[in-house]
Amino acid sequence: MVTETELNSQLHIENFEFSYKDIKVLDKISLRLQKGEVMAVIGKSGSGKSTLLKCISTLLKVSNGNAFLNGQKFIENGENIFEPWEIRQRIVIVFQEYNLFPNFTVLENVKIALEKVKGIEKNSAIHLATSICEKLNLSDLLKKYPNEISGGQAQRVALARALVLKPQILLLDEVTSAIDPSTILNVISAINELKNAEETKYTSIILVTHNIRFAVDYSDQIAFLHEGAIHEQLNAKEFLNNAKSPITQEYIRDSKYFI
Amino acid sequence: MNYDWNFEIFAPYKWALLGGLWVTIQLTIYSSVLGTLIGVPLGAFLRFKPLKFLSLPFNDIFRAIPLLVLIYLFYYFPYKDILGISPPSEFICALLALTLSQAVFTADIVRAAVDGVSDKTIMAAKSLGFKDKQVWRYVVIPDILRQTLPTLIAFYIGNLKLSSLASVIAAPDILYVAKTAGGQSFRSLEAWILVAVIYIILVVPLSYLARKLEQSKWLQRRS
Repeated sequence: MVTETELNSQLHIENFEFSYKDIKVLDKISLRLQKGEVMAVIGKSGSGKSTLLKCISTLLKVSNGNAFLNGQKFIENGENIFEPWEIRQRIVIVFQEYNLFPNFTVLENVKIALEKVKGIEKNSAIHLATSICEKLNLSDLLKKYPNEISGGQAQRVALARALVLKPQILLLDEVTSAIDPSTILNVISAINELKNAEETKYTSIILVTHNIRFAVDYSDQIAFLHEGAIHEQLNAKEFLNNAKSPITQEYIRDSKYFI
Repeated sequence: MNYDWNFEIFAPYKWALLGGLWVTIQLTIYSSVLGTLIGVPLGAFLRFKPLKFLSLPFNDIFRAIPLLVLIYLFYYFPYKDILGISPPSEFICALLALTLSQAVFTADIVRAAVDGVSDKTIMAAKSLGFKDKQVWRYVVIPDILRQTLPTLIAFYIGNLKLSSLASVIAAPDILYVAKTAGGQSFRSLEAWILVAVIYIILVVPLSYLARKLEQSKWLQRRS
């Protein structure tokens, strides 16, 4: 029986558990994300942030837990109810190191899933891919290969490649950490653009970062992950001043050196 | 400058030489195609973990044996005593050796190419909703082809030249026929020059085409 809160939330995960070689990486994690909401997941390296995103997108298989998308259960007691690729068309992840297809041009990278996954006809796919690239300032790079563009540009291509699929949930895994500080703003402005654009404003985002300023400025909620469990979860505006737990406070204190 | 060149003596051997050329071409094409068809699945098999420790050294051993030795082994193998079959023709013995050689080298190239496909690329394709089959079709296989094609083509051209070793067991390839004709007419130098010219005519255009292919945009997209 689906409860009303589950129906209202776009993504709801419940007691996610994941172990790697007998080490518990995720320990009973539950999250609820409303339509259009941005949630930042922060925490130290190795706290399980990236693993959590891979589990949500079914790239990794949880050992236990349930997950719902718009009230529809897609993981039950750790088992996928649908084919993983069906989920991944709706929940798309953008990786820290972009993972672009090295043999494809920028345009091909952005359009390939439209054609092959969504079955959109070639010319329409080119049109959609070109227009999203325009919005993300990639128009001059359409014919370039990934090894010919900068890290910041590659990350925007990765964003475009995900956004063009109009995912319901966008998972951003440390999208600003593999690029130099001067291009971070470039990527952030692309995310901002996405939040304001009509067709993507209802896309919910989970962004994993260890840049606390990025989390505070661009999310609605912040979940602090510690040793594989959600240690504290607060409204983003209150996070810096109202965190209760000493561990969270220590993390905030340490992070402030880098703000 | 007094050497009395005489290529006319080969005129009566015209049809025999053409027949030899046809044998050379057949040896090259059959061994390249069959060797690749056997080598590709063998390459995938070499990556199959439970058997990797057995199959990999096995493959290395066959790669270590010179082709000439392989040809002799296939030629002198006691087919009747061990397999109960009559010995195959010289052509088949040479073909078996060339095919085996092509297969083990192809297997090794394919194994390395499969290992070379980045996990990140595969993960990216999966993350965009590609089905497993589509990941292979659109990402893994094109990448393997791009990585292996230039080397495979070099091997095919190599096969063309190596097929001349078939002459040691009297398989009637171009070299064997020309050598025999040269011997019969006491014109060995002319015979070897003729063989060299025929090989140049066969190999140079193929090398040119291979280079063109290597420079093609599609192949240059290697990761």
